[in-house]
Parts: sequence; C-alpha cells; structure tokens
Amino acid sequence: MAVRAQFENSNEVGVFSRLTNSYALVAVGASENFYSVFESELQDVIPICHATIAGTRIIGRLTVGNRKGLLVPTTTTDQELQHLRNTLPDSVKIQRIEERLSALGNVICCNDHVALVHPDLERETEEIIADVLGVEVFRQTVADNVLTGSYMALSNQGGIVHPKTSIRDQDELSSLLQVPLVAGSVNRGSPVVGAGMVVNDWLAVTGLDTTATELSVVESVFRLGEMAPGGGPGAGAGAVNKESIVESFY
Amino acid sequence: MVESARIEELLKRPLYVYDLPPELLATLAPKTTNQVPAEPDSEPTPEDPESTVQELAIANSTSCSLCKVPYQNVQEQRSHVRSDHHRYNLKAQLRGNATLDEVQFSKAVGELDESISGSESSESEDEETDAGADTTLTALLKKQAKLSQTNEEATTVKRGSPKHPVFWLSSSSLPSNKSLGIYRAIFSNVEQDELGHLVDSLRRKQLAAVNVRTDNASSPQAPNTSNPHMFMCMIGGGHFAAMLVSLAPEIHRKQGGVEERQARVIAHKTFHRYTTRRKQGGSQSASDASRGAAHSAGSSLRRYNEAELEKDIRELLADWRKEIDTAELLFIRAAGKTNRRILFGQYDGQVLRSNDPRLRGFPFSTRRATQAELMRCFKELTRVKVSEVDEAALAAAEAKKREEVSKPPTPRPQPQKPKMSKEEEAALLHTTQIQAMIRRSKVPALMSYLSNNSISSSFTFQPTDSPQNFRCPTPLHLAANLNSSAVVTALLTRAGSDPTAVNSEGKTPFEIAGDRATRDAFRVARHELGGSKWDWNAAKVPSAVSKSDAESRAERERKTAEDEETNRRKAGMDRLKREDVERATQQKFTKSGGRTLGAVEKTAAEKRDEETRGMTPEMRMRLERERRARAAEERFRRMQGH
Amino acid sequence: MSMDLDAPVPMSGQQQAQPTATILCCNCGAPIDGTTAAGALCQDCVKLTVDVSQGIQREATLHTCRDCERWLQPPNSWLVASPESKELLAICLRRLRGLSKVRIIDASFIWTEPHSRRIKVKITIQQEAFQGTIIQQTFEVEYVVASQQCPDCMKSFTHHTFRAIVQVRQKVPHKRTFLYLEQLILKNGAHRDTVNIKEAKDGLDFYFSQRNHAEKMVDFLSSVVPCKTKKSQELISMDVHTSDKSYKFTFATEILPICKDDLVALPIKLARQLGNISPLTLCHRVGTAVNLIDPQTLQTAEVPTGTYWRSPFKNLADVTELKEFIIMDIEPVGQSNGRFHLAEATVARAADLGSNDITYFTRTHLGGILHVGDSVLGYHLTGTVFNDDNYEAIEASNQYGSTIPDVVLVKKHYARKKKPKNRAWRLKRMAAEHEEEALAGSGGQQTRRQEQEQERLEADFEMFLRDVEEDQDLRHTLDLYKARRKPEQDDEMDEDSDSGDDEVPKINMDELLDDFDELNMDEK
Repeated sequence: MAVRAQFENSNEVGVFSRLTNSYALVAVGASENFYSVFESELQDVIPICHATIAGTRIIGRLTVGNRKGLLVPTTTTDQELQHLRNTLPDSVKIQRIEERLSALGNVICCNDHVALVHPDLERETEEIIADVLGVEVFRQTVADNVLTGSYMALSNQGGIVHPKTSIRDQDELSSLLQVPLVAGSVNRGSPVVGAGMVVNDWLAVTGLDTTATELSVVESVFRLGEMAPGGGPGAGAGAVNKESIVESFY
Repeated sequence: MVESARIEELLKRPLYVYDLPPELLATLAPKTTNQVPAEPDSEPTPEDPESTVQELAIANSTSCSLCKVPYQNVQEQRSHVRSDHHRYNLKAQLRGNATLDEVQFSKAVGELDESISGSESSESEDEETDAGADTTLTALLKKQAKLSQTNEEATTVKRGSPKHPVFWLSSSSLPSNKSLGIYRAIFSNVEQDELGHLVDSLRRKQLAAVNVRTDNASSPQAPNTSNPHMFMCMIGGGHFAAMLVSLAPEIHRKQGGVEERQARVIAHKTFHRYTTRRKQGGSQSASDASRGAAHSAGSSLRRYNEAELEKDIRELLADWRKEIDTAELLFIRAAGKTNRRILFGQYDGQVLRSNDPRLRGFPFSTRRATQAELMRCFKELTRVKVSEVDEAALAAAEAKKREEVSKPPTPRPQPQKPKMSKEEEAALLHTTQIQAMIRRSKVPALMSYLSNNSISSSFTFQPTDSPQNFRCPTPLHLAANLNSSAVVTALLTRAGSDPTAVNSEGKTPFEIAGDRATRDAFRVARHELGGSKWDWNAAKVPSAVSKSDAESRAERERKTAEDEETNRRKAGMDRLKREDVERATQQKFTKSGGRTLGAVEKTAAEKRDEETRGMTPEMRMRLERERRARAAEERFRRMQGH
Repeated sequence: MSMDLDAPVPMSGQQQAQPTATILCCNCGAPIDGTTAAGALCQDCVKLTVDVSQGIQREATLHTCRDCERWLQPPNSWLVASPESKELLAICLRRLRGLSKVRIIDASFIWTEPHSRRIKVKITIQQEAFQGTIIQQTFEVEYVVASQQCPDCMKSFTHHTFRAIVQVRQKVPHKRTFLYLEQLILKNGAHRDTVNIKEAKDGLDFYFSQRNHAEKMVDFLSSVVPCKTKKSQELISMDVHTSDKSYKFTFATEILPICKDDLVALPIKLARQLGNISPLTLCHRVGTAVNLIDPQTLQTAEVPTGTYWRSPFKNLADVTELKEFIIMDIEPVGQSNGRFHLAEATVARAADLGSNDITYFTRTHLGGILHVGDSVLGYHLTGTVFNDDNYEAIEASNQYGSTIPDVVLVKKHYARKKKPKNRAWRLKRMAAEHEEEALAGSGGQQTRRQEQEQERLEADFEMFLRDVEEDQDLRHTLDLYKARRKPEQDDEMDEDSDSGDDEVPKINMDELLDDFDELNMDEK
C-alpha cells in the first residue's frame, strides 16, 4: 500500500522519517498530521517512534536502518539514543557511528540483506554496517552519484533508482542486489527518490506531490499490493501465501 | 617443437641480457631490419573495449561496465565489487580520471611497490593511512595524482630515429612474429659498429649467476671489483642517486625452492639537497647568472646547498673511483649545465670525463633521481624485450623493402667516372648556374653556357643526393618539371640532351612534365629529331607531332576555351540582368505593401538632417555637394530622355 | 531526400525514446528515456508545464518625444530610431527586465497601427529548464508608447534657455530683404545651429545655445548683406568664488534700409566723394555694399557699409511708389555700362492714357530691354512731394537743381496675372514660428489686422518672386527648385492664361534644382 503524506508542507518525507520492517522513526513535527499517516497504517504492527537526531528533525537523512538494526551518527545525543533504545524493540541493534560522512541516510542505502554505500565511506563504518545491519556492503554509485541513500529507495521486494540511471547500470545493480529495480521519480519528477519517500515491505509513504503514475510505479516495483502488513521476519508474502494454499488444499 | 615450446615458456619470465638461457642464445640471429614496425607494447591494448564488452553486458548483465570485468554469477560479481580494482575505478571515475582494466590495474599496483623509497621519502605524505588493503589503493590514488603532473614533463623516446635505441634479434626456435630486443646502449661502441657480430658479442657477455652468500657480513662497501659491473647515476633538481651494480645477477632462493634472480647492487648512494627554487623552478645558480644574485634567505640557503651537493657528489665519486674506472659502462643522466659541471667539470681528482667512450645516457625517459628509479632503469636496460609483431604487417613492410632493393639502380648511360674533387667543385658550380638559368627559362643564355663550358649533354646535377636532384637529376628533368617547354625544346634539339635518362624514381623527363605544352615539346622534338636518334619508347614519349600540328591544336583549344569563356560570361550577364529585373519587381512589390509601421514616414529632408547630424560642417558641405552633383546628373539624364 | 534535409530537426531524445524507454513520465505516464529526459517529464509535458518566460514583463512603456521623435533610453539618453528599425527593437528589448537571464533567439515587430500608440514585439527565447534541457518559447510583449518631452525640446520651448540672440532688423515697410535673407540662409545652411527663430517687428530674432554659434551667424550676415552689428551682454549669474560668470549675449544687427530699386537722394557731399555722381540715384543692387546708378549718365557708385553709417541717408521712394508708364518713343544714345544701355525715352503714364496726352521725356538706363509700347515702372517725380532734406538740398543746389528728371524709370513691367499659379519653380521656406502662433492665437478666426498682415506678406513674397524671375544676378545667389506639380491636370486649365504672358521672363529649367524630397531614383 502506498500513501501520500506531507511533513509541514514539505514533500520530502524520506527526510523526516525512517521506515523499516520492524520500526518506524518519525520526526517531531509541529502538527501530528504526518505522524497520524504512519499511525493509521502501522499502529498495531510495528512501533512508531517520535525522534530527533542531534536536535534536528532530518532524521531520515541522518540515520540508516533495517529490520535488524539502526545506525545513528556521532552527533546523536545520549538522551536521544536512550529514547530510541527505549522505544524500539530489543531485537533492533542501535549503534552510534563515528563517520566523517555523518548524513548516514544519504550515503547508505540498505534493505535487510544488502547495502550500497558511498565509495569514500571509511572501512570501519563498512564493517559496522555489515555487523549491525547484518547486510553485505557494496561501495557503489547510482547513476554516477555517490549519494546512494539519496538517489535510491530500496526494500526487500524491489527498488527505485534515480531516473537518469542507464539500463546497464540498473541491470548491474539489480543483479548485485538481487531485487528488481526500476528507474523512476517521486514528488512530480524529483530525482531524489531516497529522500522523497520511505518504504518497507508492505508500505510506502511518498510526498503529497507524487503523481498517480509515480505512485503506480512505486506500488508495482515494491509489490505493495501483494503484501500483507506485518511482513516481519519470517512472515513475508511467501509465508502468507503458503498458509492460504495449504488451507485451500483441505 | 618441444624445444620451441620450452622457449616460449622461457619468454614468460623476464629475460636478463647477461644471463640468457643457453638454448635461446644458440638460436639467436639479428633481424634483417633493425626497425620493428610496432613498438613492443607489453600488453595488447584492447581494441574498442566498449563495444565488445558492452554487447556481452547487454546480453546477460554479467560484466562490470566500469571495470570491463566479466563474471559468471552473483558471487563473482559481489567479490568483484568488493575488490580494490572496482573501488579504484569508482573513485577514478568520480575524479574524472580514466578507469583501468584488470591488467592495467595490476601493473599500476606493481609499479607502486617500487616507487616508495629513496630520497623521495623526504617529502613523503604526512599521514600514514589506515592499514589493510586500503593502503595500496590510497597510495595508488595519491601516486596517480602526482604522476599526472610529472607525466607531462617526461619526454618520450624519439621513435624511428635513424639510430634506433633497440637492436632486434630473432630466434629460430621462436615463432617468426616474435622478436627480442636489446638496448643498443648495452653494447660497447666497437660492438655497436659491427652489427654482424652482435650475437657473438652478446654470447661473450653472458655471466653466471652468483648464489647469494648466506652470511651477510661482507659489507657492500667492499665490492668484489673483479666482477663486471656498471655505474649508473642521475642528477637533477637537487636529487642525486648513484649506484654500482654488478652485471652478474644473484640468485635468491625463496621458500618452496623457487629461484629468483635479483640485481646485485655493489654500492648505492642518494643525496638530496634543497637547491631548486620553489614555485619558480630552475636552480639558484642559473637564476643568479641570469638575474643577478638575490639576497633572500632562501637564495643563500640554496647557494650553500648547491655547493654542498657538489662537494658531496665529488667526494662520493672519488670514493668510488676504482670501481668507476673498472666499470663496463657508465650510465649518466645529468641535464643542464650546472648538473653536467658537477660531474664533468674540471677539478682536481676528476673521476668522470665527458669524452669517456663508456659513457651512456639512458635511452628512455627517467623520473626523479632515486634509488628505486635507478633500479628500474637497470632492469629496463638489462631486460630483453619481447615483441610480437603482426606477421602480415611485417611481411608487407618486408615486401616493400625488397621491392625498393630489387629495383634496378638507375641506369645511367654514361659511365660514372671517378671524379677529382676539383671537377666535382666545377660540377657543383655548373649545377647552380644551370639550375638558375632553367628556372628563369633563359634559353639562349643556357645554350651559350653549355657550349662555352663544353658541358656534355649528359651532365647530371651535383650533389646527386640532395632532395631536389633526387627528382630532377638532369637539366632536362628540371626543365620538364618546371613546365618550361622552350627550355625542353632547346635542350632536346640543340643541346642533344638524353630524354631516356631516368631520375631516382625511375621516371623519364617526359613523365614528370606537368602540362600539355611541355609534353608537346617532347613530341615535337621527336618529330624533329626523328625516331632513330633516341629510343623514344624508352623515354616514354608518345608518337611524334609536327610543330604546326601542335600549334594548330593549341590554337584550337585556345579558341574553344575562349568560346566557353564568352558563353559563360554571357550566361552570367543574362542571369545578372534577370536577377536585377526580379529584384526590381520584388522591390516594387515590397514597397507598395511592405511599409508597415511607416505611416510616420520621414521626409527626405528630415532623413538627410538625420544623416548629417553629428557631422562636421566640412563633411556636410561635401555631402551636400555630392548630392547636388547627383541631382544635376539625374537632371541631365532626364532631359536627354525627354 | 531533400525533403528530409529540409525538415525541422526534432528535439533530441525524441527519436530514440521508444527503444530505450526506462521511466514513465511522471505527469502523463508515457514511457520515456530517463537518461535524457528532463526532470522525469516527457517532451510534451515539459512544453506544457514549464514556462521559461516567467518573470519577463509582458507589458512595458516606451517614452518618445513628440517633437523630435526620439526615444527615451533610460535613464536619460534619447535615441533616434525609426519605426520597426533594429534600433527601436534594441530599445524595446532593453526595456524588459528579466530578459538578461535568458537567451534571446529571435525578436521581431508585429505590425500595429501607429496611432494606436502600441508597439508589439514577438520574442523567442531559450532557457535551460532542467539540467541539460533547453526550452524554446515565443511570446509577445506589448509596449505602450507614451510621450515625454526630451530635455532638448524642453529647452527650445522654454525661456532663457538660449545663451545668445541675434536680432536682425531692417527699418523698411516691406519684407523683401528678409525674404532674400531667408533664401540665403537656407542656401548656406546658416540656420542649423539655431535653437529658435522668432519674428519681431521689422525683423527676425535668431536664438542660439552658444555664443560662437551666434557669432558665426553675425559673420554670415555681414558677408551677405550690408549691416552693422552691436554686441551687448547681460550678466546672468556669477560665482563669487571662482569668478565664473555666465552671460547672455545679444547681437543687434541692423541691415541698411536701402533696397533694390529704391530712389536715393544722396547728401551732396557724399555724392561728390563717390566719384562726383549726381546725387539723385537709383539703387540697382544690394550686395555687401549698396550699388547706385545714375540713370541719366549710367554712372555707378558703391556705398560701402562703413561709409553709409558715417553719413546715413534714407531712400527717397521705394517700390510701393512705382507708377506704370508706357513707352511712347525710345532711342538708344549709344552709351552703355554693363547690361545697362542709355536711352532717351518719351513716356506717358499708363493711367493717363485715354484721358490726356501728357508725355514725359527722360533718359533711362533700361535702353536694352525697353521697346516702344512696353510698359515700364518708374518714379513720377514731378507729381510727388518728397519730405527729405537731401532732396531739398538737391533742388536748392545750383548744380543739380535743374537736372532732376520728371520721371525715373526703374524696371520693365510685365503684364501678369495677379497671382500666377503655376510657376515652374519654387523657393523653399523656413518654417516660421509666427504663423503657427498667429493661427493658434486666433483659434481659426483671423482678425482683420492679421488678415491684412497676411495679405501684405503674400504680396511681398510675390514681388520677391517676380524679382527673382526678372533678375538674373539675384537668381544666381539662390537655390531654385522645380515645382512639385501634378502633371496633366494643369495643362488644360492654363491654356488661356499661358497665351497672355508670353514675354514674361521665365526661368530656364536648367537652373532649377531637384528637390530631394521629390527625387526618387527608382522613378519609372
């Protein structure tokens, strides 16, 4: 399911939120409209956390995470870190990284299995990403942009890359990540797909400006129609489908 | 067959000139030509790598478009993406540098190992980056950033110069397209001269490898001087590196019993002093000489350092005097006056002399004077170069060569008399005189000159090897080439020049005649002299024509040309007239309907006022006068018209 | 093949859109090539949604000066630009703000009625809309033409904007000298620097913005007419610190009040000085000096300006007092001086014909052109009382008292229509200001005085024209132009009138100039 939302008149929902299969982070806003969009979709499924990082609201660009973990930059205060630890499930490992490229959300793009990172990321960071998020880490660029997190939106089902990505690069990335990829845009032609939307295995939230065409592309590539909510660990589409098939046999 | 395969195997390892495998040495023979059409490129450059690899990629997406590396499955792909190579290319691409393919990359990494030593370390980068595989990569990238500047300075070896720096040898046990190259500089002057005995001298040079002694106690400063060795030194920009290296390699036994030959350095020394002027370049002494002595702190520092460097170097040379004197060859790079003065200048106890026959320059471009660079140069000098040459191209070149050789030497009817130098001088004088006269088409002067000096009809220009005389060796050739038909006629009919003489390209005068008139002159001469005087067919002169025929034909042609010209002119005039009419009608048309916003059209007087605005009164007056005159003319014209 | 070559080149990316489509247009969903598309929009959507001319004015105001028809180029320069010229286009384009940010490909005028006071310009611009996408757009801009007086015109319309004035005066009741002067000024272009020309009583005022212009004018005047000039200056302002002063200069130029054909009674003393000429003389020419002739003896004399002003004299009678006489008999004496031939003539007043038989005997200098039966104009001295000291002195003198003739013949009279309509030539006129003022002041209704004034002026001009026709010397100093005439129309009309004035002197066409207003080279 894909929904449109706006954070205080900004369409860049990926900047102000972080959505994974096991939790969602939403920036503290003046109005609760944005939060309520997430709440209505995720209320009983995964925890939604009001958060700030280093006192800012651009949490989507500063953090990166997946089902297994969450990485926050070194500027995060202890209090904020504590709040996150309190709110998120215990299975989610939270780690603060010392990295020069502190906007982790911009330089890292990951799903539950792989991560594409900025080529200049430090080696230690790469190792921490692999450890905490439990992913294979590849240094790559998206359409010759080093900011993989900004120009790519990725879930376990699929991914959208910068609209100027060539077919060849798409094929290569797709083969590397082992998920289907398409080039596309959000928010009425914005190429910053990573910052313009958040996505997990069953929900995508895009900016209010997103056109129907863009939304349909998002829904189709992330296979949002097919997936039931709560596609957490071991409860993916396959599991649900298998149950129903088994049911129909009897 | 087995043996050749073995030799093939041998070629895979670097071959050392002074220690060639005997089986290869036995079969060596000098190549017929010392020029190899293709320079030995160590790896074949992939031709249009884009197209070939791309097709593959589009088909099944199994190659990295950045690194041109194919892979079979995801595992391979992932490991490739993690590799240094891919990461290097990623960064290179982001910086706008050229990406490297696998071979180039491994080579670049290989070079990296060598270049971190010597006095270069004096300005090593401040930080030692994180350990692990990253170091190679960062070092490589850093080095590349530096190299991009130095590469521009380095001069390339002049290719195809008359003296090729490399001798090429072939081996019977090798495929014919493979040839082995050895630097000319390796051989002594005497050996270089007798090319035929090159292989023999090479065989003489072979040395047995020395097993390294287990005890390293013997100091390198006490070298075994009986060994053949060479001295290499480089000096430039305040850097100095010198090395005495033994020609006999030493064999290190590595773990697993693999033998590895290494160059045995008897002694080496590097200095670096701050002498070059930062950001300006050039040495302080050069700057002082041209601009007068500067009085800055830096300049005095550099002056002092220059003196010190000179002292250090001379001391070192004095220390090594014995070894240098016994060295087989001296390879020295010293560019610039100051640097040469340090080594070869007149001073007490001078070691190196600039007229030493053993003295060599490096026959390739070298980099900053460091120990590593000396080592690289040594390896480069003593390594046998293996070149694979495209057989077809070689054959073609060969055929061409053979063709040139097989061509009969220009048949000169006159016997080539051995001339005295005095006669030659006279011939040279005649040559210039005759050539000048032919150039100016001075027929009578030429005839009288020929008869007065009793120059034979078969006179050839001297010297025969100048490029002009190469094409036009006889007066008749020159006249034909310059299209002066009058001179041709005179030379043929009156001076009795030989039309069958050929130039070095094997062409007769008739063949190099440039225009119809000159060719006609030949044919007229054939007519006048009769068919029997010369072998006209050999002279390639076609059938004879009488003078009147030729003239009438020329007349005819002139006439047709004239007709054509008048026709063309007429047509042009017609066209112009037509265009004028068209333009006039068009103008009328546009005038009637064209003027759009022009309701406020200016009267002519106002326009004139506008024109004259800003003019001086004199100019106005002149304009007015002109106008009057025009009006008067117009008036007359109209009155005559009425 | 040639059709393909001439076809407009499609915008890039369109040809290969189909095979390599990678994304869907975010607006319409059309598959397009993402690597070349602009902002994930297809070509059509880009065209529809992007307006590169945003921020460029669509309306602007141009200021033009009504009088000199120049255009204001802000902030304060005034440029000459004809309608639809490229200069005007440049002015138009410069008026638009925001146009500097885009690339102008083309600009042209769209035709509008001039009286609509609107100018429309079509502008084609290019602008990079997204990265690597250039959009071309065409739009129209409408300019309102507003009038604003330019400083130069303002100056010429305002008082005290001149720096120097030349006041030319001649104290005679007619305007012939000024008409002549006008022609001379026109011919020599002496009026170019004037700021303004105004008519005053007995003369003209020329206004100049600079003193040296006025001095030039004065020099010109003294080189063509006999005059004397007086210069005066008035202090307008002074800077006490630097002693910079600004003055207004006035040059009062008085032209000698003797005109051609005037009868002059010289002071006897002066007449003695001038070669002992008989003091009753006729002025036959006015150049830089006054040329006098004694019609009795053909003796001539020249009165230089300086000499005149030392002992000024007035004319005894001027052309208005000429009477018509008929030659009864004429006999050349044989003496001649230049074009003048002395003759003895018996004349009778034309008015007397049929009423009495009074005839007068006189000697005349016009022997060369007069024949029996011709009518001639002359001064009738016997029937006239002159109130002039010099004349009285002549009458009283022993030497000259008896030599005063009854009649002095001045010039031949040609029977002409009152106002010949179709002269083959014409003169140029200076646009005089007083006429406009007069018209404006009366509001269309002319007062009686003005009417009279007008009539007198016309009569003066007509007389001047006749002079020009009759006097070859005069003609040489002027520019005569061919009349603009409507060719066929006049011919039939004038059939009868032409027959009457056969012998009226006509000017040869060769002497006439083509007016450049009329001169079109491409005339059929």
